[in-house]
Amino acid sequence: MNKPNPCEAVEEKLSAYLDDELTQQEQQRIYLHIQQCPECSALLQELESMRTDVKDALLTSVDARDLPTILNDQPARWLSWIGWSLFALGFLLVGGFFVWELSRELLTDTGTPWWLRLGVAGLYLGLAVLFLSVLRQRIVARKTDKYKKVNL
Amino acid sequence: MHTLNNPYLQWYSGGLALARNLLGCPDTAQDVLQTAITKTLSNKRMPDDQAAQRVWFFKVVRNGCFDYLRQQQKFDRSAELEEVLGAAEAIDEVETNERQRWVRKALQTLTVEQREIIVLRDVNDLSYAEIAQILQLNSGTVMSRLHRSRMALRDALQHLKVENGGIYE
Repeated sequence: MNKPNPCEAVEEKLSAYLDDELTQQEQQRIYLHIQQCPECSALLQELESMRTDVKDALLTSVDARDLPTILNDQPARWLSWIGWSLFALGFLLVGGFFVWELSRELLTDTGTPWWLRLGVAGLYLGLAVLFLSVLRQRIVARKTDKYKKVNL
Repeated sequence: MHTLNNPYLQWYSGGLALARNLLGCPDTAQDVLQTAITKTLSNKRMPDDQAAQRVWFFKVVRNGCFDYLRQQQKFDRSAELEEVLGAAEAIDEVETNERQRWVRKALQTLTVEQREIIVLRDVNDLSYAEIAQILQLNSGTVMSRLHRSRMALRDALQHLKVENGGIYE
């Protein structure tokens, strides 16, 4: 029945016992108490597993969420480079074919009146020129962007 | 730059864990760490032995965090420091382990003092004497504060467990 008091004194030293920060004498005293007190030894175990949990939770999260390492991943960069090149190649081929066919059609097809053919040509040409103008603006803005190297 | 053999880089992730817990914002935490690393490069008079360097580094990180928070407060005087610290944490989706998420959630319910001492000890394995230097306390206070913080974390975890039907085990 004299349990509560020794337990209370031991309890507040449990963390330090776990961290190996007590004097040898105290360490010994706590050790002896734990051997015969199931409650304190259960608390010690709980604290110990919590300590590892905290370490895992905070350290792995740092690694897993470190974006720059993901962005600097070499294979992913190659893949994205290959992807973009293939896309550009395909775009040029298909676009070239489309322009070629369209202009041949417009020049040779005598069935439709000349003003309609001129209109269609103007429509497509206008869209292409508008696209180019926006593209140019974008590129200029990118080249002169002061904050380009700022990592957010 | 001597970045690659900079001895301070080995404490980078530990320092980042501390800054994240104090600031709640991963990006700001990285900024603070960046500044701390820069200081290790530019400072002329550095401690010589590793243990002292580590203490110095964590002091710099911790001060950096509090400087940042103080700055924030100048812009928003209505917010209490505690509020700023508590509310900011946005735990995100990239979670691998349910249990780790619980621990992190429980940590957020503690006070700043409790959180920082737990991170310093459990994540960074600093000795009580080193923690005492960083927090400018005496070792006895470190011992009791750490224990109280751990008990508070335990309470918070049990609380979460009751609330959510005991998934944490």
